[in-house]
Amino acid sequence: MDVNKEVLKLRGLVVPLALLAVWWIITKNEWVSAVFLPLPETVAATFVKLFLKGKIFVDLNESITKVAKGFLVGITAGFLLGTAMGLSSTLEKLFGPLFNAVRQVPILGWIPVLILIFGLTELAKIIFIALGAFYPMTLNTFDGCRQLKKEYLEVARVFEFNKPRLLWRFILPSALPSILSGIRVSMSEAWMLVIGAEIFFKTRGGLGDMMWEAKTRVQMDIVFITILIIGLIGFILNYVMKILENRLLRWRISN
Amino acid sequence: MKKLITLILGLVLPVLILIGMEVVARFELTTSQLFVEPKVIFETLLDLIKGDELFINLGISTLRVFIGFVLGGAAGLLFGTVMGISRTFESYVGPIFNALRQVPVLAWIPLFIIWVGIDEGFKITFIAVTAFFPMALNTCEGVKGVSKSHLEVGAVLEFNRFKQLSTIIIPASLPAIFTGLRLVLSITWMAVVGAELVASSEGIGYMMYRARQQLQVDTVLVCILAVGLTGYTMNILLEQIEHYFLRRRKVAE
Amino acid sequence: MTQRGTLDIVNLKKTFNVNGNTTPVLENINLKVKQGEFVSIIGPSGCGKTTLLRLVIGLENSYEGQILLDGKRINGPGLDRGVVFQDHRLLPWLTVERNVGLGLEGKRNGKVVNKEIVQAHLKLVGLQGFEKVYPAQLSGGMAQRAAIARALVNQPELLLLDEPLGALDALTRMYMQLELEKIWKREAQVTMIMITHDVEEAVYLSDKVVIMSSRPGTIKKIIPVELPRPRDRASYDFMKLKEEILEEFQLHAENVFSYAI
Repeated sequence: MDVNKEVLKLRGLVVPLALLAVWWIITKNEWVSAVFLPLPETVAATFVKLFLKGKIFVDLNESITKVAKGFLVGITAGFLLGTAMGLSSTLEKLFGPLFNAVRQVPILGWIPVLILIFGLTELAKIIFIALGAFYPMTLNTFDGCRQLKKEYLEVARVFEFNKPRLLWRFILPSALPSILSGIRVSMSEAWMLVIGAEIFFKTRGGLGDMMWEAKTRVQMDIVFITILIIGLIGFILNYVMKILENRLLRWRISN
Repeated sequence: MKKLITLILGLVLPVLILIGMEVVARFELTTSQLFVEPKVIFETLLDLIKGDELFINLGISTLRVFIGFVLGGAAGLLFGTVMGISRTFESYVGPIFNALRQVPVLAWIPLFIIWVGIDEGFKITFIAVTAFFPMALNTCEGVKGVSKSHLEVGAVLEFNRFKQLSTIIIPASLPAIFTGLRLVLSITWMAVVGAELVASSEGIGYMMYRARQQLQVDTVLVCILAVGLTGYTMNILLEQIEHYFLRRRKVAE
Repeated sequence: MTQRGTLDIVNLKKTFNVNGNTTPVLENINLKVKQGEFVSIIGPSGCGKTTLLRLVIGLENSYEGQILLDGKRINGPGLDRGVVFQDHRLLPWLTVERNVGLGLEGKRNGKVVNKEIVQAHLKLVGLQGFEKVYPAQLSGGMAQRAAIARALVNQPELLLLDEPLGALDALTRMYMQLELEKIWKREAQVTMIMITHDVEEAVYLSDKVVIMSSRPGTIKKIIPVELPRPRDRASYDFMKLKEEILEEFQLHAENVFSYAI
């Protein structure tokens, strides 16, 4: 129990290093074909080469632009619908059932429909990503709008707050934690779906396509690298959102 | 009366959409061959229900989900429990677990295809992996969240490790485990559709893929309906099971 | 012409509908409170004292009889009445300063004036230096001070306190009673009505103690407290008055009265 933090951190490196060693031994002795598992140094070399050549930045940019568009559209729509349903029970009854029914369909199931309607276009992909971001954002915003306790509503009544000020001072702040985690979930969903879009819509450009191309040509080193980069970006996005949440929700922390 | 109004309000938008489609069809507002009348969709639905194709494909997909769910879920449950109980274990595997968890599940597809091929093995592996991470994470958090005072009760009663686990830790983390299961269920349904869209010659995802290539919008829509409904049913089933296991707790709260 | 801050309750009756049955909660309530008076309402749980206060606040609206503030019937909440709830109900997402200034937001005083008012009230309750602190970082007693400042900021005629010290520990509570008395003295024209469970607290602070009995809630007795201030809790007169009030409950209630907190 009294193991200090440094030791814990070092322990975390044991398994990855062991895996690396096993990987190296296996490939060095050619127990597995290099096609399936390239040498660690090959992967490292390819990694450097990719960044030096610079094409990876084009793909990176492509994916990030796409995800940004879809994400923004999705969370805006989700925020609006979530707030509307959270504030008005009539609107909830109007939109709720349809929303919940549509939500039951696995998101990838919409791909054939989107392709049929919009073709293999940029728009189809952005709608697809937006839809993925839309669900969690709507749900979280809706939940958040209902977080305000009855007790606080009474405070608002005592101070004779009107509707807009009630919304601004009471409802939205109390919904903020929920909304922010909605944004975070939507973001990681969108990031997954941009990769999905690039794979399933089978169009050129983006990290997903780069990965798929590498798969087709059985360039295992590039597959590894793209997984690494995609994971890393997902991690960074999540991390940035967490920091933002902590800053905006400072009021929750007690001494 | 109130329930009736709720029901009617809920039906307004779907009915409006149907009417809109019907109007477009009646007045021939579009020449697109992609547009189908509600009537046609309905007929296709009836046709597909009468035939075997839909049910066979749906059955295959459900089976895949089930196998992947069980394998990945069981592995995640075990892994998550051990990681939650043992800080030593967590200190060794936690970091790599968290690192791998960052990779969006769809990004694993190319790797698995190269390693496992595109046969049944690939689909099951992929589904199981998508099930593994959320299950392990939720279980681990559930186990870690078991209140100290409950654990102390066990310590005072001199429970051995097994007893501690079976009478305190597992029951106390059950709600979190069920949350994980529900999450896993919806993710595995997404995964099976994805796997079948990429590489398959059967299953509901494949059926959609083929219908899309043949521009059969009606079939695609019916498939969507079928997937949604199946997922929904399984979710309700799971909720019932959860309700059964946690039935005595709700009252106490 | 009635004076500012006078409360007149005449033949008040209030019923609740529970599953189709009408249950009387308050019956035949008559109470006069003069400007600047400190009145405590005390009674067993379920005697309807909180309902009575909520009626005066305006959070409950349908009633028979009259509740008159300065001769005008109360209909809904208003800024002429300040409220301190038992659970301070400070908004967790606003700093102390902004919480206290909440009631000023609708007024067109200008920022500088509002800031001054807030400052003055923070000083009144002894919270200078805590302007930028969030409620989660305050202790129970401090949070309740902020809540009192928030209620006073609009210069209400009536300050209504619903067991304001009920959630505090015994020592903080005594300390806060001193503070509350100080505030009451300084805001001399503000009438204060406080719900409490604590007999000693009522005797210590009040000009008048209203004793209620339950089912339906009625006013059993109104006991004036004419002890000189600051009051000595250990004095003979204080103890006697306390005994007298406690006696009221024991005589009245068939089962033993419990201090529900």
